[in-house]
Amino acid sequence: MSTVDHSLDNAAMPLKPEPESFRYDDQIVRYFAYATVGWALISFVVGLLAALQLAYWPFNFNIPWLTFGRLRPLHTNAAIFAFAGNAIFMGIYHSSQRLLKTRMFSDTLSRIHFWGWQAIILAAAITLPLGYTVSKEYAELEWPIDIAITVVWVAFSVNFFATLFRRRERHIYVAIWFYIATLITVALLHVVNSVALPVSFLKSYPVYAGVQDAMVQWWYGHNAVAFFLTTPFLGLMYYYIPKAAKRPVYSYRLSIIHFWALVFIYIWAGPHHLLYTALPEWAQTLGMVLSIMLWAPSWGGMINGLLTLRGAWDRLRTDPTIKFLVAAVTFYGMSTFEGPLLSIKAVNSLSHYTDWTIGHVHGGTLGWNGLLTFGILYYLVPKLWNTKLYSDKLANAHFWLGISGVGVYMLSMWAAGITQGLMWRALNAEGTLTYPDFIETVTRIVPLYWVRAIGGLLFIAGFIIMIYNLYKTVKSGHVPEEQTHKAYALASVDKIPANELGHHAHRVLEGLPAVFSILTILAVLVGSIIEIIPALTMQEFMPRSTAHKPYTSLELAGRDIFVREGCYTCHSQMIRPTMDETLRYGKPSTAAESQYDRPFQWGSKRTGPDLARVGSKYPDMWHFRHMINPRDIVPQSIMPNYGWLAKDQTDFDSLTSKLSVMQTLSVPYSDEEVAKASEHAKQQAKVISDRLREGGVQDPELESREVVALIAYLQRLGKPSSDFVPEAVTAVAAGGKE
Amino acid sequence: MKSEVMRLFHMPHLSLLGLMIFFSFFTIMVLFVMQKNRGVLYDYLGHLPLEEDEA
Repeated sequence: MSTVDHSLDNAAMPLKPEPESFRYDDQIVRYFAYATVGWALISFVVGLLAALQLAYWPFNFNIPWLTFGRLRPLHTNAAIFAFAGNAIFMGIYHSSQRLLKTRMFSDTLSRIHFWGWQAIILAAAITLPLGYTVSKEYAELEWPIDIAITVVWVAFSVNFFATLFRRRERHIYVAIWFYIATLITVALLHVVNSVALPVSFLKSYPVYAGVQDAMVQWWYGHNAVAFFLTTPFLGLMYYYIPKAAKRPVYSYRLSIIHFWALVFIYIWAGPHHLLYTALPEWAQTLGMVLSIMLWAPSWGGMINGLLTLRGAWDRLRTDPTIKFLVAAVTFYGMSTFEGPLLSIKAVNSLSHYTDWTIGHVHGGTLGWNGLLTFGILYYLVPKLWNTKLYSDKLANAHFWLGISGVGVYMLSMWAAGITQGLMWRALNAEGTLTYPDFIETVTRIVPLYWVRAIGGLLFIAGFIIMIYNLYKTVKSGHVPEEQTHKAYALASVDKIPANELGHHAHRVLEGLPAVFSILTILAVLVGSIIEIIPALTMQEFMPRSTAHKPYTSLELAGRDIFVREGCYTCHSQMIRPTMDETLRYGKPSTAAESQYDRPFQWGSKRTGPDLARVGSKYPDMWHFRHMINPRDIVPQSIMPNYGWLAKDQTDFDSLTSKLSVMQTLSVPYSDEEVAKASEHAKQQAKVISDRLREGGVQDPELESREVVALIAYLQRLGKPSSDFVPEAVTAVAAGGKE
Repeated sequence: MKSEVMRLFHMPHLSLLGLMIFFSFFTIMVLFVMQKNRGVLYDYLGHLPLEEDEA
């Protein structure tokens, strides 16, 4: 057993005359490394399948749980929380122990974190394809899984902070700062955004509605990118680039400014996902301005990372780890340039709802998160198994395939997005739409969906090469015996001479991780409070329309089917106040129109047209045929068939519980409407079914089919109240007149 | 234009408070970090990830 002696590092502050011995827990790092690679493969393959479905819709094989609307949330959750999540934990467990010169506080908590997280991912992988979803992007999981996430995150946090408190290194390196910000902010975002009232074991409604739900969701959604895909990876960058380059970070001063600026500013940027929507103008402007401000810290961080290689650039040619890390940081720079660019309202009016956004996020996840993770894996795996990388050539092949894949992906989606955005807004000299049929703007970009799939295929091919390379590396090595390290325990801050504290305020801050954590909380709370509180309390200032009535029970059932099938992944319900959108869809959407929408369904992508005013635009029969086979109506459509909706039964029994929960959430349902929810739904289903039968549909149980409920919902969109009035109410009204 | 942007913002004191916090925090932070005598400490901190390799 070998020994590494760090005792001189803290010689200035010995508590005991003899240094303490300790060992690092690298087994947990190996676990997370396995999980990272395994879940990455799944998320990439699911992503490729989803991409292929947009190029050729039958790739869903007519299986509900393989259909795009259900697969897309699975892909995003797997990529963010399974692949990137496990990669973050792998790096945090490895680097934190070394930077803090101590073993993790509790091996048991480490294992609870690992197995708990894998169980959550498994639960997501089962429930999302089955349609159990809240439909809030990157927060789709239902309430029992949300609670499990909270519990596991608490276990992780306790373990991390306890490790921090018993560290043997007085100073907290900047990477640890980024980890602290991640732990605190992710907890805050998750808890606030996930507050919901359960209807049943796997169904709930958010407490927020409409514009408020949108505001809270994108405060969460954007900061999931910021504090799950950015800050922890920046922490990893600040640790692994110096390690791989064998050089200290270019400027430690810049890293401090980078940290505080990023943590302070990022939290405000969420509303840039809602530009030109019914969100109040002040919130949109605030989101845009703060997003543009992000250019400075993001590029400061990128430059700091890249310049760490000063004097070692030649290793770019020979060291695969360096190649991946440098390419990742370059992609970070590109993505963080593009993000603020897309947040400028003029640019966003073109890019939003198009594939440009898809290209942007994949530049971030594949280029930044993906390549950085691969670089760390190439660095860590040989060390964890005490051997050398099996093949540098294979790693180089992976590198070129990987960046080619990301490049092809981004270029194809930029081209698709800009093409589609320009076609949507194109007007003739007469002031009419040049491309009035939405499908024209879809068929034009389908070839680019094939090109995108080729990009994804290249990326996966490189990844599979990495799996083989790492497998051979592990096979050629062995799990080494744990080394014993030595370092002095720290004196507690109250034992540090007062005069020293006075002269070194920075040391006080660093010596008190609790104080540092509180400052971090304050930094994220300032933005959150100033942005969120007015949004949550402005209810009385919103132009609430009493003319808008809640959904009928059947419409609500249909809405839940709309949510379950993930229709929002391709159809928005938000008409922006622009000339072309008004010409194409009707007058701009208002906040009042979605005041009862739990969850809101504004969407973020238009693979198909906006549906905000689709109600009564087409007859019921049009919708029925369109759902069974969209190509009966629009021959070039790329929408999947939803044949199962004409076979599966609407869940009438749960409607009373659903309306009851809505009533608790202040939706103005009468007690009678709640009590007779099922009865009223069946009445409305009969009205729609009769019309469908007149159109030739022959199904004796048509009233109970899900497609009828969905049609009821679609026909309601854009209308302040339902066309349907329950029989008893009709009779009373008629009696009154008599 | 300003009145249109702020039409539905009913807590104007929050924007002033935010600006003050923002400006003062960043000014203090940058001045603190850029102090000349902090170079030695930052040099030490920058080498923390490399200690294991140097040991």
